[in-house]
Amino acid sequence: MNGIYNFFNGVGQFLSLFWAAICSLKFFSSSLDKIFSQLFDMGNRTLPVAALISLSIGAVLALQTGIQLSEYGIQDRIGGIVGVSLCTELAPVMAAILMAGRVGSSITAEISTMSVYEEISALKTMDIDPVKYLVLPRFVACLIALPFLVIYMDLIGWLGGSIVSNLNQTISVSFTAFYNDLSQVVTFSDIASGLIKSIFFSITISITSCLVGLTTEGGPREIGTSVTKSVVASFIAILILDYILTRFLILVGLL
Amino acid sequence: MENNINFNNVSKSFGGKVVLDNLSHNFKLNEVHVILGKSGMGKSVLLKMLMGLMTPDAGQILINNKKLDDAKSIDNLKISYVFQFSALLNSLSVIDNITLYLDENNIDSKENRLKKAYKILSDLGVEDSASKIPSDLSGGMRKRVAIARSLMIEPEILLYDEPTAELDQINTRIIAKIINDLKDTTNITQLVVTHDIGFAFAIADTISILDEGVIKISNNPEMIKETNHPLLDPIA
Repeated sequence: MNGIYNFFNGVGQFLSLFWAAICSLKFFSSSLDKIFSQLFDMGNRTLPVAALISLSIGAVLALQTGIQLSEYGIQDRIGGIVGVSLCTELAPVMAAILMAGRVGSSITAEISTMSVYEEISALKTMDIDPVKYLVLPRFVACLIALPFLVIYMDLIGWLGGSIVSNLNQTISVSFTAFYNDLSQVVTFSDIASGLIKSIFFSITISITSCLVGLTTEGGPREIGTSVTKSVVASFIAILILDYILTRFLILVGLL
Repeated sequence: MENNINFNNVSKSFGGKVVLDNLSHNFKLNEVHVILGKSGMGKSVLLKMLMGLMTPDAGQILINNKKLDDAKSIDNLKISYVFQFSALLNSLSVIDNITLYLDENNIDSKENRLKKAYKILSDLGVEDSASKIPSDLSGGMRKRVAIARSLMIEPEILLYDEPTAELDQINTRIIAKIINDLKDTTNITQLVVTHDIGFAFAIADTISILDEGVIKISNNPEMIKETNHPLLDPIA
């Protein structure tokens, strides 16, 4: 019973903070410097790792699929398969997991430290709303950064796939053939579906990370516990949400 | 009943443990009040309720016969709080910590904010630390910066939670001097929670002893000395 109560309590707190973040959007223009600072930080933390991950995923995907396709003599279809797999599923999910691990954990660590050392209470004593000051910039920055990260991972993943398809002797598909097939198969709705997923994932990551940070109580030991809690909760939410969103996107004909 | 902070039958419990038990007490405005008591007796809880960071389970807090929220919203009463461990934002420099209240609430021009901040930092002897980040400061300097940040709000009531915690005797004297200077030069009501008996007697107009959830004794320092309360006993 306690677990069920905690789950619904957590969902309630999540929705409440999400709504507070939406309401604080009216302070968007006065928070631009903080939003840019967060965006810069998020880019620094994720872009190099995202490039490595997506290059590797694209390459492995092309290698495994290409060899199978070559057995049937249809390896020239590799561009479409790599293209669709990356933009509809792999790039959004991997980008979200990367964002939760690198950025979400840092958000929770920072805000939970502020909670433990009474910095959040200090903000309240100065009539500064912690949602406006701390949550809004991270919420908006995440909302902007994740879709861009997905497109970035799409492009680099496709590049990885095309390099392996070209260099591997068994697959041996030229860059032109790879991108020709990719452009014929991948539609705007495939790319849009990945971006729609990334918007939901970014909300989940930013709100979960901020919420866990803001509700941290106790001493320094709790900071580590909160970071783990926030990352695990984000991962689980991303995976569950991914299935629900895929079903929904199929239902509305986007996939 | 004019010009006072009135705790009226205020109670607060945590997990079944009663911390404040139907506490009723008047603190006169424009004085320095010191609240002495053992650890866990609810001294900080009392301050946090007055700051609005906690709400009483029962009872109410009145300021000049007005509810706390009304006094803040209608009369624009300003209350400020100096935290036990300073609670400065480590992601900001000292000067940004000091101007934070004015910056975030869009009060005054940037130039005037900085002018005011440097004046207060200078008054408290920490103007050289303006560009440093709080984690690079000593405990005593952090405390003075925390007081400076509270003074930027221009409070009518200033609350100190264990202002000499973890400070040596020299820094304790500096904090006592700051509180006494504020008493002499302003009308700020200062409520100080402390364990430090010597410090309490150095600054207080009134000393109150909080024990078992209620204020047992409250009087001027001379009268408090004469009570021979066990809390005032020197260590044997």
